[in-house]
Amino acid sequence: MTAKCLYEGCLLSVHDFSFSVVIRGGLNDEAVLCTSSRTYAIKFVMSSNTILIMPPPSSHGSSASGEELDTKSETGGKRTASAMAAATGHLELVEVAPNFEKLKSLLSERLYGEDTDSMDVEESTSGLYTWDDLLEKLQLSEKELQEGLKSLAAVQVGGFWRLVDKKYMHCVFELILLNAMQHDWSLQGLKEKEVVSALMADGYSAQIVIHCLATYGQRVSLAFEAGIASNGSYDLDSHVWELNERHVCLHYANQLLSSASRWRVDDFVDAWQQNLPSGVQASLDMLKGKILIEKLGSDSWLYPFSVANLPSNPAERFAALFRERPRWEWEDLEPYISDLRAPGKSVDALLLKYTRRTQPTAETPPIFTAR
Amino acid sequence: SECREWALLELQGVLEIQPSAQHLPLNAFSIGSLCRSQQEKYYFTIGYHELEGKKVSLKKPMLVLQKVLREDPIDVESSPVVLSTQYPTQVQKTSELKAIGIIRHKILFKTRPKALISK
Repeated sequence: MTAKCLYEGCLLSVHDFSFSVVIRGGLNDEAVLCTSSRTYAIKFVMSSNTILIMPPPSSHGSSASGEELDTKSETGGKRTASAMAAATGHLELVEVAPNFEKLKSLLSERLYGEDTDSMDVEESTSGLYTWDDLLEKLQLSEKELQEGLKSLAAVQVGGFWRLVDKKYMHCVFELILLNAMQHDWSLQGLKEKEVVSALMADGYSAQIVIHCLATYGQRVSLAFEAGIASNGSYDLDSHVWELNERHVCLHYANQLLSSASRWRVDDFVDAWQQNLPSGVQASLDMLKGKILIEKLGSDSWLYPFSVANLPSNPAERFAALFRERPRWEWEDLEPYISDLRAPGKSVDALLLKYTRRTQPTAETPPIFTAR
Repeated sequence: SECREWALLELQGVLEIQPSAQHLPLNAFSIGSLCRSQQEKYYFTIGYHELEGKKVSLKKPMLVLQKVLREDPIDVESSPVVLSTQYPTQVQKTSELKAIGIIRHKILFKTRPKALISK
């Protein structure tokens, strides 16, 4: 008999299912059940009772539930419902948050860097993972894996998903920006063909250049003139990219922060604006979640403190935040916890669990401290 | 939609199948008669026992899952795994599961069976 598992879940999840689920896990893992977008830990609940399950009658077309039997049937005969199976118990599901740290560490086994780019074909495939490999090893749903890969700016090369070395990415981005300045290209309308050929001349692969454009910007719809060739045909090779202003600003901010880790805020803002390409406007708001500002006397100083380097587990995240600063104002705290994921728990619930909120007077903003 | 509502009957105790018939699927047997009275009481007669029960809504609905059988031979070492109901902690070769039914209510029989005197 085939139908032996019963699953217990909430009504919302039923619609989320699209009626096809997969159970994932290696021999040493605890099995999880994945829908197309969520992942659940499985608990098998045994029952000492006899559980008979019955499908609805298929041919009669009458009631949906097969147990509507009546001794006084009008035709005089008895209707039958067939028990398909006797279940020994059921599976209870508890939603779990996706583990993106494991994804990052798997993809970090073989980072795609300068050496990789110059090679034509990579020799061994150990430490390289395809989409299917990742789904199985990480026990994630497809949507969650997609999200994870996107948040890490991973790129698919030769069927394998790769994490590009950060320094290398910054290098490529810097070159794109330099070329743009040199050739007077607009950052809102970079022609893929031109950018790729300029960087290929310096030894960078087209894949990496396009991945960089996709990570720091987006494709724009073609301007009519740019796309049409002289004979009136549509030139499909004329992809045009617009760089995201925030990413451009962040790139130059990171350069400044790597040259000196502490800056007087005014000095930083001046140097930052100076380095930016013309027409690009920077603002300190762009650095939320990446820097912290503290007042020392009459001066304000900033230093790097990136949410990307903090643990993703809520308990560990709050511990790390309170180690850095015992007291937080909401405005400063928010960018460091907005990405936290705990199934079934809202941000407010997490704050309640891990912090103590005080508000000295009605006019001053609330302060959060460790619980 | 292929996910229609199924029924669930829960009985305390065990249905014993005679050894000579144990190879047959469950739906080959006529287990008993189920009736519903006007007072929303359910009666399940198995052999000469009558059980009384009532319909209960499940707090959380259940889905009936069925393995999607693959046609190609499966390589045990590299294939994904599924939970076995008999040995929950072990893993066996598998494929996907499809939801083929949803259960929102159950008819629960938990009183002592009444012995019927045959005519």
